[in-house]
Amino acid sequence: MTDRRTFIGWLAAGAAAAGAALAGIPGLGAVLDPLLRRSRDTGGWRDVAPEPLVPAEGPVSLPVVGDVVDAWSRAEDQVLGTVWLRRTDDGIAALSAECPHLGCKVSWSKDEGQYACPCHESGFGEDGSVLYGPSPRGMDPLETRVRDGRVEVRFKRFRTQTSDRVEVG
Amino acid sequence: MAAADRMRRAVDALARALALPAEGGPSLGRVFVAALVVLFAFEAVTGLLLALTYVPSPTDAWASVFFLDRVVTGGWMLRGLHHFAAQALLVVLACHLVAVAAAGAYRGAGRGGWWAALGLLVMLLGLLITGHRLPWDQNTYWALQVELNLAGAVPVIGPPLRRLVLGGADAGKLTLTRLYALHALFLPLAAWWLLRRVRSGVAPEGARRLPAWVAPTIVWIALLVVAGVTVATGGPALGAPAEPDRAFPARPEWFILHLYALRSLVPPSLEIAAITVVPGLGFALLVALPWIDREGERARRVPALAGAGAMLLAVVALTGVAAAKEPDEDTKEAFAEADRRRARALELADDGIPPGGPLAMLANDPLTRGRDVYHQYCTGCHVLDGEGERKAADHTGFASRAWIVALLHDPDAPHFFGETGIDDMPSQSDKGADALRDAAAFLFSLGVQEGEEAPPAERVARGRTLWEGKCMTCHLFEGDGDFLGLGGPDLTGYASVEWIRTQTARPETHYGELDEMPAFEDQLRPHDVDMVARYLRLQRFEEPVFPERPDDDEDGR
Repeated sequence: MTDRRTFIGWLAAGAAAAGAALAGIPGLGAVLDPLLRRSRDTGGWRDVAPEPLVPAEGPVSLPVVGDVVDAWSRAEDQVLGTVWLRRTDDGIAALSAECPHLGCKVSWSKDEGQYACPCHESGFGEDGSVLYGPSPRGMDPLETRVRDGRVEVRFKRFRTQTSDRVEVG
Repeated sequence: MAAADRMRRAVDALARALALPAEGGPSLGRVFVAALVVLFAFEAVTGLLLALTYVPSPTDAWASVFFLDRVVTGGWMLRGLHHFAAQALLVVLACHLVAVAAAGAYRGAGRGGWWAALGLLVMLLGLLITGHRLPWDQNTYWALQVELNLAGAVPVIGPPLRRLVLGGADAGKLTLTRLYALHALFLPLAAWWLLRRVRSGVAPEGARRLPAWVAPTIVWIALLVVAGVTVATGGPALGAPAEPDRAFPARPEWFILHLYALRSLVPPSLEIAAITVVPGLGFALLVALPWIDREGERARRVPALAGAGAMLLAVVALTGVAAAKEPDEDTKEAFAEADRRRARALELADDGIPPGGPLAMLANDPLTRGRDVYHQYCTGCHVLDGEGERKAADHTGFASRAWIVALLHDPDAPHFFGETGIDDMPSQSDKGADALRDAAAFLFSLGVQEGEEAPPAERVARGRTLWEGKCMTCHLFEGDGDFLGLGGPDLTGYASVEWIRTQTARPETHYGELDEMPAFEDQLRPHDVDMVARYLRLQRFEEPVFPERPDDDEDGR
């Protein structure tokens, strides 16, 4: 049999623990929410440009547009990212403009005939291969197809700083 | 009175902080604590006041900082003081750490205070980095991308950490709420908890005492420097709004520049190791100092402090290396473009920022969005301000009166239709210079908008007569003309926004059989066609530039 004082002591401890759990469980959930909830992007085909827009020589940079769900908001026709399109012997090829080193936006230098990242000076050939600099892999190719005269790209993002391509979900 | 009592105690506490301990003055190891306390309180107060205006959201962050800088009375000063006092805090904390280390005050009972100061260093760096990201301009946005991608590359803990700070896979609304909560609540509370322990550190017996005036003087100097820098610089600059679609050469702030330099010195495969392991080991050495250099074991003092000193020198040297590096041409160009966009954004923002934020504002600005579209789609054939390839008409000063006069003189010049297959229009020089100026005034008047200055009415009237008598034999105009059936371009509403829109989207509407320009209708969204048309129309107010200027057009008036 416990006496009254011990009982009240247990009661107080229980109340404190319950209080901590009461705030702690949903609190932890709210903090860790970004790890528990994944984005709903399906990574489907996205219309990027009419086929004739891709020049015979050199690449062209185009925005990939789609709906963006960001926390409580949904916005139509937002820029999801940028791709570089160019013509190859097999048709049209796309490279993500996101530098595989640390995610800055890669630009094309017409004079030098290569891509360059403005942040940490990685250079890439027209096919996206690394020429110099810290990038651990070449620029990321994206699947493309031409439908009814329009170029479509399956837009994806990849983890930076890795030599393999790991998709970001 | 309890309130008066409390007030007196607060003043006492501040006085103690400013001259610790009261008797005989502060010890060398603790002299900077007073400055830390005062600067921390200063940051808390200015931070609370900034919170009255700042909004942590991608649409409103830049806008609210703009409002603070340009509109709120004293807002720029408040932001500047908060910005520079935070950096002064870091310098003072570094001085404190050096002073404590030099006095050996981290030994024995002083080690709790030493560790608290090191913890405070981490919190302060966190506060500085999160604080610098809040304005959400181009540099903050891209620096955040780089930093979080670096953090994300750290094995195991990196990817979830990146996700937790971003609040998802990408930067968005939750990124700013999280950064703000960290900056304004979590980190300051942790820093305050640590700062109290820094104060409770006790210098070892026999430490040298300094005169009582030293601590307050240091505080005053720190505050004066902060105020001086704020006023001299006009506060920290707000850059161009963050544009996730526009490249920017992000550069880190001075207090993390040494890591940027370190990163560039090692082979790419060692980058992550270099910027985590090297500073990690350095920090571990500082944490371990009280154990390495124990009381009564003087022999270990010299190597321990030599290690810490070498580390400090390395940080200073690396910072110097990175700061001295001259940016290359591409980087300078990117900075110049960012400056242009910044200036334009500030100009537009003065008229009010739309609910969609600065990005919506720039997307609806002909001088920004129209110019972007022009540079991407039009410079393949047209030249404007010397940029582009000359395969069709030069657009510098397009449809200004001087431009039209020059075209009438010599339509086949390389800067008009010379490089195209269109060569049916003869030079109109035989009509006389004044007649051409009349015609130009008439054509110019077709695109004049409400509120703009029109050419003199009598000139326009003479020009119209000339146009109807001579030009409409070939040109279509208001559903009439082209009497010879040559299919000359339709100039109804010439160079108005509507005319340029049609010319851009469906040029064959104007040029018919003669048309050589691609129709941009299916490449550009209607909004972009409109933006580029509005951008190009503004060229009528610019001075045209011709490779060889025809003699007889002076100013075209």
